[in-house]
Amino acid sequence: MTEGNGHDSSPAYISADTTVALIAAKLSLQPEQVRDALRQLSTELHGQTEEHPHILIDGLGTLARDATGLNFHPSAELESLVNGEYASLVPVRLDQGPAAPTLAADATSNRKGQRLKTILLTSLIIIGIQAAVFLVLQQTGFWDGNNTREPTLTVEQPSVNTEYQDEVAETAAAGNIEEADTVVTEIPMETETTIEPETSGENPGFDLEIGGYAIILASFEGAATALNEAARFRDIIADPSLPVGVVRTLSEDSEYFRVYVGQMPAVGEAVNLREQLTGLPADAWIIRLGAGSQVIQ
Amino acid sequence: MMMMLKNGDVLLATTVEIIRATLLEGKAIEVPHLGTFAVQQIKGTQRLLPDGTIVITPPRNTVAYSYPND
Repeated sequence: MTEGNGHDSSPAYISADTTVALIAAKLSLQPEQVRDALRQLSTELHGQTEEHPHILIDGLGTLARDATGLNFHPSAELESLVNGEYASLVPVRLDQGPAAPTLAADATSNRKGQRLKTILLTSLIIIGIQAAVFLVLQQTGFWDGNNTREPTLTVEQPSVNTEYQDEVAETAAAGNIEEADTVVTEIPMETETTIEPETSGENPGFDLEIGGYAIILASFEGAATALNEAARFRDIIADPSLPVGVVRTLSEDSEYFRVYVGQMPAVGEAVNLREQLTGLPADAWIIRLGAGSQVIQ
Repeated sequence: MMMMLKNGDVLLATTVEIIRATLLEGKAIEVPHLGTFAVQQIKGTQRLLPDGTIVITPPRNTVAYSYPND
C-alpha cells in the first residue's frame, strides 16, 4: 500500500471536505462536528491497533498495523464487488512446448479427414448424377443400349389372354414356328376369315390400312358391352389423340369384341404407352391389328 | 488477536456506507484522519516461464489504501 494521497488530480476523487459534507448531511451534523468525530474515531482505532494487530471493520475490510504503519486489506466481498467487470477472468497457463506438435498433428489429421470426406461426397454425387441420367434416358426412351424393353415384354407375356395363346398354338401347329416363337414382337394378326362384313363400319381411330399395335383393355362376347366399356375407357384415358374403340375378332370359333386403345407402329411403343397410361386394367395386353381386322368403333 | 468493530457506531457505519458506495462507482475517497480509499486497476500480465509455459493473468480491480497525512 502506498502512503500519501496523491489523488487530487483524479476526476473521480472525493476530497476530504466533500466526504465530511456527505457525512454531515447524513447525520445532520456540522462539518466541524464530523471532523472532530472522525478524529476521535481515528484515535480510538490507533489505540486499539496497539492492542490488536488486526481490526476488522464490518463491511469494509481489515486494518492492520505493521512496521510500515497502518495498512488496509479489503474484505473479500468488497473486493469481489469492486472487481466486478473482471470477475469472470481467471489466470491461464499455456504449455507451449508440447502444444505445437499436437496442434500440427491435429491439423494434419483434420486435413486428411476433410480430403476423405470430399472424396466420398464427390463419389456419391457422381453416382447420383449417373442414376438420374439413366432414369431420365430410360423414361424418355432414349436408352436403347441392349434394349431393356425387350425383357419387359417377355415378362408381360403371361398376361396375354388365353385365347391369344391358343391362336399362337394354332399358328405353331400350322408349321409357322417362327411366328409362334416371337409371340411378343411378332404377334400374329387377327384372323380375317371370321369377320362379318355387315358390321364393317367407319374407323375413326385405328387405321387398319396402316396397321400396327394396340392395347386390348377388355374382351366381350357382346358388342354393346364392349362399346360401353370403350366409352368408359375413353373418359378414363381422356386423350383425344389416342384412338379408343372396339375391334371384332374371332378366336377358336368364338367371336369377341375387344376394347382397344392406341395405334403404335412398333410393339415397343405400345408397351411404353401401356406403361404411361393410368387406369388401364392390370391384364391389358398388346395385339397387332391389320387389314384383316375389323374395327367397329 | 483480531478485534471486530461492529457498525453500532453511527459515525463509523455512515462512513463505511459512503466509502463502499464511492468505491463501487470506481471512485476514490479521502476520509479525514482515516485515510484514502481508491479503486486500483492491476493490469494483466503475460509471463514466459523457463519451461516454456506461458502464464496469462487477467487484469483485476482491487482497493488501494493510503495512510492519512494528518
